[in-house]
Amino acid sequence: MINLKDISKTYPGESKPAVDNLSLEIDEGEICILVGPSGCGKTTTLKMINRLIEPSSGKIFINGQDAINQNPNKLRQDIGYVIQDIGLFPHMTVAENIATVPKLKDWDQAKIDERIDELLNLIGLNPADTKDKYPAQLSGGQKQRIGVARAMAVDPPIMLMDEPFAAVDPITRTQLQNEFLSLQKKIQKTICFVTHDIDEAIKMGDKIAILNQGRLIQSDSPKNILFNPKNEFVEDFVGSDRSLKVLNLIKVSEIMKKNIPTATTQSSPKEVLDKINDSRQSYILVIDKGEKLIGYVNKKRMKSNSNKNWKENIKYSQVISSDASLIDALSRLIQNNQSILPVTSDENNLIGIVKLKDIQDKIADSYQAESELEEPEVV
Amino acid sequence: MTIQEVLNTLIQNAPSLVIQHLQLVFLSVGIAILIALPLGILLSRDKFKPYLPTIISFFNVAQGVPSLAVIAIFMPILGIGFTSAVVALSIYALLPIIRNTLAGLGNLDQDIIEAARGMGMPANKVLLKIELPLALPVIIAGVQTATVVTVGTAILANLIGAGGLGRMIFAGISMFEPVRIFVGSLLSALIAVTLDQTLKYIQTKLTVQLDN
Amino acid sequence: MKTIQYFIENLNYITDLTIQHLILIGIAIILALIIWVSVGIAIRNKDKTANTILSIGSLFMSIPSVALYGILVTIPFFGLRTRSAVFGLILYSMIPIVRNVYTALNEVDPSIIEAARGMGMSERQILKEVQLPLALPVIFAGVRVALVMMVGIATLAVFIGEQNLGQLIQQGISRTRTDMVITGAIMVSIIAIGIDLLIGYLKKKIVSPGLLLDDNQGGR
Repeated sequence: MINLKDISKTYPGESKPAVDNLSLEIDEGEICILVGPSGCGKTTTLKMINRLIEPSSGKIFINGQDAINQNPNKLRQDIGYVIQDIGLFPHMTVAENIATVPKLKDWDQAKIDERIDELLNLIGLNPADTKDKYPAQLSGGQKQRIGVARAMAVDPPIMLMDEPFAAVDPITRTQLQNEFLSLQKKIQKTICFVTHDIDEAIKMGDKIAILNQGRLIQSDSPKNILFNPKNEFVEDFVGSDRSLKVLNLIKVSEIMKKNIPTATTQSSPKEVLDKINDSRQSYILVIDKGEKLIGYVNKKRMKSNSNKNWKENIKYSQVISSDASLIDALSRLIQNNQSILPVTSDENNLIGIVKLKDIQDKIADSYQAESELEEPEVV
Repeated sequence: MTIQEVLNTLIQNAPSLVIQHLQLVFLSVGIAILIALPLGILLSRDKFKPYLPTIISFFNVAQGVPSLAVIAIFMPILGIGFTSAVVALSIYALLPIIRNTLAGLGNLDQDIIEAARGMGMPANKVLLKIELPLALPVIIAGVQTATVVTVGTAILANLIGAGGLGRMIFAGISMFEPVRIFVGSLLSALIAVTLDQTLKYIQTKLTVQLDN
Repeated sequence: MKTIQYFIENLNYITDLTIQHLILIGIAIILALIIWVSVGIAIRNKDKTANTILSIGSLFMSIPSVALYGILVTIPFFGLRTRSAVFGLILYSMIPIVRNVYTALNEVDPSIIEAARGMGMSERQILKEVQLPLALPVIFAGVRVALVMMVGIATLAVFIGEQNLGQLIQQGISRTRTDMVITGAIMVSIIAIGIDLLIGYLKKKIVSPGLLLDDNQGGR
């Protein structure tokens, strides 16, 4: 949908080009990330797509048409543009901000009002509360979301985003990234996204284009960038922890084991002990009548307290949801000093279990590493 | 009004009046600085912080009183003559200097002052070595304003017998002599512009030094 | 007090002078706004020209108003007529208005301008829909300063024959009538304060509420 052909940009007075003969294709409905160190030309490239910067040479085709033939303003009205500082108009309400491009395109007011409500709902904000507020009254996260909504006002098929989530705190950033990915599932836009953060690139991108000093070094899927870095630069840029980065891409649901032995709160102490022995583990997970996880009991405790109410031995366990990434699972395991993590639904139903060993095996599989240095599993 | 007439007036009548005018200006501004600066420093201290908005409002209102009125008000009190004029002019020149002193000292980067205090610098040294030097450009701008304004007000001061170029201008008005009006006005304008540019230059030099 | 007595006895005369004062300022500010706001907008992207123009304006500021009036009076076109007074007032309002328009237009957050360009707004649309509305608070501040200045300078126009509140003061001086002087001074101050408040009120009405929030909330 977007086709960059040998584009270059050299600023007057500079000897080295900011963008050097770059060719890249962005397919319809995909998120393409431009990523690289400072000064690599990623923002310059982005801005050439909507002609905020004009290329020194080369051609840019949008939907088959040469962008140079279109009126720049009209071109931009049909491309959503989100920048790091968002640039919300402080003198306009949220509604007026979002209505900017629709007004430029002479939409009638009823249509605009409808669209504003639609968009605010889409980004998870209550229209009635938010519509008439001014930017000064909004939080950083809200501003960012409204910036995205504003860019989508006329439903442009293409969106350009320049470090859109960089200006907020890490927690909000993760939230915004997740929300945006959910949104993209619904709206399927063609997106060109600039970031300096390789983790964000891996998380958000369908395709990653790594740039350095104005040149395209490697353009590939996130997995290929991690598993098959083209050269040392890409390897270094991705980081020596790229094996861990893969964990970002894999969900708990992909490696969790189901059919786990469990004891219910109705069981007698003897039944519980039997179950533990049958399972050949040192513990058993305890669920209630509705299949909801209560916790676990330890074999040693059960044995030493056989006369008392056995339920007092139930200990609480950290859990994880099935669509969390393996990196979240790994963090949680390590933080809580557990080597297994029960997987539960939002309603706390036990779905499965994920083990530290399983995560390790998954990475090893991916890199085809053979293990020699290993501790035997303790029963 | 011929060139000859202009030149005559310039050579014969102007010099002594110019000197008198300059005396008026320098004396008044000098006195104003001596009063306004310490007063401004005092009012910028922490103990006056709660009263500051009221104080500033007062000065804003006072600014609105026309120079003519200030001079006129002092007439019955001080009488006529050079001295009375200097008193009235000094009072009128106080305002811009105090306002700028307060503004200059009030808009300083608090981090710098905190750092100085944190180093154990006593309050008077903080004032002398840090606050005043940093506020200096703004204070000088205030002196600049005061000076230029005083050149103009000094013209009016002739109404209470101060002399200076005001004498030439008002004589021209009452005697219907355009030459005098013109020469007197032109010279006042030149003095004002020259003093303004000079002070501006000084201010620029000081700001550059501070930036370094 | 003598002053209050004078005020009451001469209410008509004082009202007359006040109205004249306001008319003079009114004409001057309207013309000044038309001229100087246009200039400010015209030079917004031309830094060198702007600097030259602002320097010239500063020069004018330092000329005492009486002196300026004096020079104008000797020029045939102007002479002892109201146009000299109006011209002087317009000249003195140049710096507060032009400087504020120029500075405010240039101080708009660059990311806002970039977002506007990226959305496809033309240069003219950006000026009209974004830059000017955002520059309004500062422009209002400049107009405020200009008007308060004009109140004082208009007072001095009595020396070139204008009839306004300055008359009370000037007559008061030549006839040694303190009551007249004080009446004049107080009236002028009242007008200055009144105009200041009026502009403050207009600002609240005209400037977008989104820009005034800091004034009321003092930061979230």
